[in-house]
Amino acid sequence: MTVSTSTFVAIRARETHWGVHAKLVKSIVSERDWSGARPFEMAEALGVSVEQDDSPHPILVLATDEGSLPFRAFGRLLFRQLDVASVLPVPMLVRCPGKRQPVTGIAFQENGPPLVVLDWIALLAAAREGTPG
Amino acid sequence: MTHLLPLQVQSVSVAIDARQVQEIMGQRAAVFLPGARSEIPGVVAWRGRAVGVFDFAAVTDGLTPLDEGPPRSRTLVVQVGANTLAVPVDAVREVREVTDECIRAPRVTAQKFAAAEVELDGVVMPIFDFAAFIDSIVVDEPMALAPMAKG
Repeated sequence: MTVSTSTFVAIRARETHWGVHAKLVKSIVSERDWSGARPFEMAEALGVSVEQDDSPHPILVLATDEGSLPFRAFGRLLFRQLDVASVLPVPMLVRCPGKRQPVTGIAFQENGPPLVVLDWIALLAAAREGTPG
Repeated sequence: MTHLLPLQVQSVSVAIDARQVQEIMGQRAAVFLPGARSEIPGVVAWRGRAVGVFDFAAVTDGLTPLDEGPPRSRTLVVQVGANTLAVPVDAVREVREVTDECIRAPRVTAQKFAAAEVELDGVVMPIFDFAAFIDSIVVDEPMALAPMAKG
């Protein structure tokens, strides 16, 4: 049996990991060392509320058609490697008409928090519009 | 005869069609998703798939939403047509068999998606209609049940 795996760069926030496919991440830069354009707040793009803390959060530079776009993470980063088949689709009933849902799927694991796989196209669209997803 | 399953969600009693219930589980942690509708704010894992979590608080006045209140100790899984929902509740009573004469139009209760009520053990409670709720979503968004992930 062949198992196809994918690696995700995930943001750890409370009991959930929020991941983007690692191949979309050009680089990860500490906030202290970041000198590029002002990063887009990923929490705002997702429309999720996060606990405020003073710790610096790294910048994820995501690849785009035109180059790259920086996003500030809202928690610590880690890598998750998953069987692609374990990423389940989000039921249509959960989606709200008129709202962008920047989520493509979710993976539940027995040995770790669930991973919400983010729709990077929706994230980039939110960044370009400057509005939360 | 109708088989009803009485439930408790915080201070509210409600009955549902017992035939729709697939499983009664313990507490399950929901993953709340951005952009989700308030009535189904997230998902839980059930039998190898992600199932939408229905929050009674979104259709009932005075209840604390799932993502703001304490976790609910039981999770029902209900099947309505091709759709499956997980329903966190605080308590589940035993299934009651009632005659059709016991079911009446709402006089005491006022619950969205409940076209009837019943008195069980001295408590008048609405009979929640999951099919009517799902129909309301389909009316809101005709493509909601298009051939993508159901459940």
